[in-house]
Amino acid sequence: MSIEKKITSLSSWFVSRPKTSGILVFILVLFVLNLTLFFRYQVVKKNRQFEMENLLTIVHQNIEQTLKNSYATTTGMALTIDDNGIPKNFEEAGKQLLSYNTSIDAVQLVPDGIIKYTYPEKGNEAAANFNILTSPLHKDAAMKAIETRKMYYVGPVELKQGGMGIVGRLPVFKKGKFWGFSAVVIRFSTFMRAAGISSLHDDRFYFQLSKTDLKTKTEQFFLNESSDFKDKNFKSVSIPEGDWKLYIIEKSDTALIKEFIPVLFLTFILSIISGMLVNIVLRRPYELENLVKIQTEKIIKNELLFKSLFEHAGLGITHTNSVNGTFIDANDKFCEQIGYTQEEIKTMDFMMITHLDDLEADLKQMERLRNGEIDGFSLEKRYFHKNGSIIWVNITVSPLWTKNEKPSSHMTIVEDITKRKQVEQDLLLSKQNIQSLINTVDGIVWEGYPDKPGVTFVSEKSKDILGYTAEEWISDDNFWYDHLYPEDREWVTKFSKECAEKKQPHTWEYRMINKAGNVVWVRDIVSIFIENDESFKFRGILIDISKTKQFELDLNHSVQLLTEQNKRLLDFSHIVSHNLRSHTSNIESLTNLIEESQDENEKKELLGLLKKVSEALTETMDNLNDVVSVQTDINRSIELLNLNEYIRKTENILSNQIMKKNATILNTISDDCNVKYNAAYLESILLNLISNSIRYSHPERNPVIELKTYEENDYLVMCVKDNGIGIDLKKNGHKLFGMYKTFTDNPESKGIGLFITKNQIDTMQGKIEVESEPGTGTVIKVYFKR
Amino acid sequence: MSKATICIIDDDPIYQLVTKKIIEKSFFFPIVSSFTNGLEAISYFQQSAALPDVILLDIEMPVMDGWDFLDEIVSIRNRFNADTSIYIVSSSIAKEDKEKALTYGCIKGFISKPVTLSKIEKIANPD
Repeated sequence: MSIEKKITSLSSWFVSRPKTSGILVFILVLFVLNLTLFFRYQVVKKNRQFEMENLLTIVHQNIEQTLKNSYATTTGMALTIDDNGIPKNFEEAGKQLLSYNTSIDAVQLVPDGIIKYTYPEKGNEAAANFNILTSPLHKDAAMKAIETRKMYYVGPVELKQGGMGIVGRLPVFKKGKFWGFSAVVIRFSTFMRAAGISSLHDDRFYFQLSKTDLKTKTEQFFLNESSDFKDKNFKSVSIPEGDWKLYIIEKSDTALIKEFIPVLFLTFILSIISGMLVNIVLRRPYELENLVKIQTEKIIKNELLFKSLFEHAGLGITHTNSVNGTFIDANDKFCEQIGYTQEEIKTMDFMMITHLDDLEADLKQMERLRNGEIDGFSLEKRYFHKNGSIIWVNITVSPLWTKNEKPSSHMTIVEDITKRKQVEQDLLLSKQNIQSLINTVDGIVWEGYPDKPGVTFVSEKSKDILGYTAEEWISDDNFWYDHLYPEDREWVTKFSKECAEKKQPHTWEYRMINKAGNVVWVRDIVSIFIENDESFKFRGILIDISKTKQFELDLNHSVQLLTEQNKRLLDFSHIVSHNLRSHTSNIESLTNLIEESQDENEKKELLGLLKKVSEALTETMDNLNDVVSVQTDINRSIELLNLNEYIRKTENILSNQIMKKNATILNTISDDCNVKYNAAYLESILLNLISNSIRYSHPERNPVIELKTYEENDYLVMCVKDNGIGIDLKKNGHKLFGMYKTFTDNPESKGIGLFITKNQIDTMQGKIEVESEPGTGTVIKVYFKR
Repeated sequence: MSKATICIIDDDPIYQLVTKKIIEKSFFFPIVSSFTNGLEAISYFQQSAALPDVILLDIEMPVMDGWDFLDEIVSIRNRFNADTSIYIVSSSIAKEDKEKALTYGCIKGFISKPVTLSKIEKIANPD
């Protein structure tokens, strides 16, 4: 690999990793800057050491100078001592020497260790005659000087004359014998000044001075600064003349580092900025590269997908020239659908294989597509298979040009729908079959939703049964309700609602009104057809049961009649047995009495009674015969009778009684009022009612009988109202129409009239009602069936 | 103590006559009275000093029937503190009438027509 290539690959490595590159640059910059900083630190540190050494040397030299001066002075002073050991011109010499050496505060001569001479005396009086050889503070130092025969400095110590100071003592020997000391006193402040410690004061450093104790060998520090600096950066020098050690100490060992911290921080920031810059600079190409990669992958995938779809789709797909209709390409499925090979297809156009009947529609749509009127279209049409058979297809055409481009080619998706078409055809046929089947059912087939008004379907039988066409019914949402028989509407709708709520199939019978206005009895057989969990349909068949119903009603009526007749017969047989028994028991008693009687007169009387019983029996038999004739007279002739005509006839029959009782008959019935009735019954009924009104008239007033008629439902009602004695209906109402039921002591009461009247009215399907109040009068209503 | 008075209440005059004769012949009841309906009887009893010992009562009668008579007699019976035995006499008695009659404490029994000597004897000596 060439260098150029290596560089390219390296740079592309960096470009593809903007974050890593940024971090690497950050580390690199940080390293370089910190390395530079480190070297700089080392240089500064070295300079600092050098500076400390210089300062220490200066101070050391100053102290050395002071000590040299002191030595010179003490030597000078020692020279003033004569052979006898007496100093000459001590004061003058002292004055002179001190004037030369400003670093010395006083000079002393100390013969035998006792301070005898001091210049200047002033201020040092306290030290006069002080024996240093006996002083514990000074003794050791003095002895060391004597032993070493060298000048030795004591101090800094507390001076006898006050304050701290250093005393340098030079042992003086005269004639080989120790004479005493020539000494200098240097006050500590003077010493410090001379050393230059005060003037060399620096923020970074400080000085310390120590002395090793002769006895204890411990180190004593004298300056106010800290003596604990072993961990710090320091330098020292020893001064043997006083066993001193001079130190220079760096105040803070971290000071230098602290100086570098901001710079360090700056380098860090700089490194970060560099890293970020690199990251930002490299990211853009990275993102672009990524985008290109993703898009490329997508395109590849789409291409693969399309290819796979095109080649392996379950649907036929063609790529067709939109201008001339020739096939550019087609997938295997399409070839399979129409039976041609790919090569053959590519030489054909779609018009060649399209059914002629469908071609026009197809071409029209293509024209619209080319003109940009539509974005695509679907069409069901027929293709000719290579073998000549017809296949039904659903094509979906999508153009492959954009709006502003010229029409070029289009994709067509071809779905074989031959089977579906066949099924549709079959379904249509089956639907027609079902429809004709439904229409032949002898009932109206209907369908509807319980929560929607109206019906969704009604079969044509509606016309036959109700006289309305299916369309008339379906188009009117309220048709069913409106054509229910008014009396049935309430319960029918209520019941229908209940069944809908319970989703309950039901069969019921009700009445409807047909187009001609007649009642049609229907049986509605309703089933529930569940469409899903929430909705369901009602499906029903309405069967015309009017004939059956009429039979049923007639039958019911007959049964009712028979039951009533039976009951009447039962009652009648009971009455007959009761009444006949009354007579037979009387006969039995009478014949027994006759048999037993010895008295002829009594026998005669009893025979008379027997005759009466016989007559009563005959009468009873007649009455019973009347009743039986009413009960059994099945072939009663019924004719139209004029009511007033019969009333007048009755009035004639009763004229005698009417006159006797001074009765008035107020007849408001019109002359044209006719009833269809049996003539004998009508005569009997009128006679019974009017004669009763006269018979039971009130003793305190003349009888007034009112006659009137009115219509009520299916009846003509005739009212016979009187002002007679009335009947206590509470007490006797239940036996009013009973046989031989009488309520008065009227000798004409036989308890047979109303019984027969009731029977006659019943057999004519009418009814009789009574309203009455004792003492006021009675109203009897006779209902003639229309 | 043997019973002395008997009363027939029935709207059938022949029955009244015949029964009266049979009772008279029996000699069980020296005093026989008769009424054609309940109202007549009650009106009489309300004014009389005592009730008869036995009443032979018909149910089906005009004006006041046997039931109404029973209701009335119950109210006046306490006044007399009498021990009147009432027998329902009929040619045929329906079951429901029998059940209804038994709700009256004074009803002692039912007699089917015709009334005979032996029936009278049983009434006179019930034990």
